[in-house]
Amino acid sequence: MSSLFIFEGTLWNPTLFIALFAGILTLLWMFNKLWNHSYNKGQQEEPFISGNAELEEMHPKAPSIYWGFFEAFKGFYSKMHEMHSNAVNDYVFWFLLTLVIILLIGVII
Amino acid sequence: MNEWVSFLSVNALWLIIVVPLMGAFLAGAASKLNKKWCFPIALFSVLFSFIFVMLLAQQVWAGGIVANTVEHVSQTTLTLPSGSVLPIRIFLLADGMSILMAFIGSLISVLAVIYSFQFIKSQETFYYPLFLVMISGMYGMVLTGDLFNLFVFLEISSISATGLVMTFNRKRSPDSAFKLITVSTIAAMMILVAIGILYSQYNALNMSFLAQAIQWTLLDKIALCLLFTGFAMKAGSVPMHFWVPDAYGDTPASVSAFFVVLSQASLYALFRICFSLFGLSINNVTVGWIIIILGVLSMFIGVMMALVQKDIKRLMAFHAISQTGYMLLGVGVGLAVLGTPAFVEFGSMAMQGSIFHMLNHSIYKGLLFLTAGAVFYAAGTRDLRELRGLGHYMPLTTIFFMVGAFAITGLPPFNGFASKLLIYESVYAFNPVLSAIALLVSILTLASFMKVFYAAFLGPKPKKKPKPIPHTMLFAMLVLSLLCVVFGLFPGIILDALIKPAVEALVSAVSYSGVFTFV
Repeated sequence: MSSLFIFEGTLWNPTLFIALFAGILTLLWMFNKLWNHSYNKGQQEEPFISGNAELEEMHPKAPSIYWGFFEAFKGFYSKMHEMHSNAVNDYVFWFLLTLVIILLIGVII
Repeated sequence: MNEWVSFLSVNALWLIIVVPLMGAFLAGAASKLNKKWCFPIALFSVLFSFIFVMLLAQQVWAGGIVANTVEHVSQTTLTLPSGSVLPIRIFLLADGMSILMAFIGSLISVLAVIYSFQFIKSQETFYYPLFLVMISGMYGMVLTGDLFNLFVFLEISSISATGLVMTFNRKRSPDSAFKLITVSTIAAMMILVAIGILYSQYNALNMSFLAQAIQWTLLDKIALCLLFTGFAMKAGSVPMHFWVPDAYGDTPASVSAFFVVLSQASLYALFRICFSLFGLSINNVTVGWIIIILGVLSMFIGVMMALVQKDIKRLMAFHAISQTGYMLLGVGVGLAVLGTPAFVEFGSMAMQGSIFHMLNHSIYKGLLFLTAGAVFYAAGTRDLRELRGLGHYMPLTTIFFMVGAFAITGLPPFNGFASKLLIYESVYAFNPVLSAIALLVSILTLASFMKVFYAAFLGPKPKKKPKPIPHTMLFAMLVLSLLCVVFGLFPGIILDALIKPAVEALVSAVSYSGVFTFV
């Protein structure tokens, strides 16, 4: 099996990628030139929230952003947190359990 | 001048290990006079080691395997009370695989020490000597050709790593250090028992000699299982990974970056045991599938646990576990089809992807840990619930973080893309379900790093203006970022120059077992 991209240079061509990247940068620079630069810096570039000031509470905290995902996997995470008990006895238990399983497989086969 | 270069080239193999070790003692002694001397001593030690690695690499690429002994057998012996005479020697060996590991270690150690200059503002008298001892232990692990020395170097690196975990973050460190040393010691004891089993049967500890002598008896099987589990634990494989977030999380970022290399040195030892020591004598399919299962578990559980973390460094530590899963998966596939036509068809490519991923992982994970350190340095917290808007004040760190995040998620043109694509393609040919899991894990990795990016760098400006990041820290992150891009843009060059010789050295058990001669 030959690789799709690296060995034959068909789908992956660094020169092409750099050229594409340079092209996108040039386009961005051109758009930037076309923009209206006469706005009030520090005022109009702030997010507009119906005229209210942006409060810290409006920035949801990191643990909240995947709330739905964690809710869906609640059962899985409760088992995982149980496993990750932070107790060194459990760390050793899992190590020994793995060792026993591997020893059993190794000796039988 | 040429004579000096020639002398250093010939002795590079042991100088790589000895220089940081001597540097550690020197830094410790010099710190009694003035603690400012620690940094230059550490920097020169790692730089010289890097140069010696390059000199050794030239020899390995030119002539295959380089072997050396620190003392010649006939000159140094130990006479026991029974009258038996035993040779004392430290047998060192470098081939394509070990030189790749030494290269990774030397690169990250130089950058980690440079980063430390303005990052480590206290405990320098402990930090630099311990760091250098740990580096020396890592070099020893990857360059030794002797099983007992492998155990000794593993212990050296584990004990110094524990010291480094212990030294900082007084609140949580003793607990994390205790966990690390407990699990490390138990794993090391298992490895020592395995070495004892092999020694009792074959009266030898030299790995290339043992590779020829192993008969695959019941005791050999037990020894393999003990060695396998011990090194898998040290590599941070699920379900023996619990110490990783504690250890990585409670050390300075520069140490965490090197911990990645240290875990990979254990992974190297695991692969070396499976391929070079036991080779085709083992049941490849069974051992390969055990590695694959550990890999899939590591990938999936690592990333799922990373998603729920609130501490930026613990999150990255779980990602380190997850990425180790990719390496295990590729090498597991390679081992499962070793010696069959499928190895030529896709097994070799799976191994190339995995070994390439080891190199890439050290670079982008090192970068991500350094950016996490920069965030902590600037904002004074690692808690994602307290961080926000750092991108307003730290544009360069934000860019470096993005490069690292894109690389770890496997987006083109960054280095993670190249190695992950090799793994996806080859593993797909072996079993499409495994490849689909690997892809899913990459998507979850992206989600996890979007969360960090959103929490730390986006949002309104922080209440307290963050501290500016010193130039040495920025320099280390810049170099790693550039490497992420360069290795991603030109993966073919890296594969031909570094990865293919490493894979050939690993799978060619014949060439390894044929090295029982001293230079």
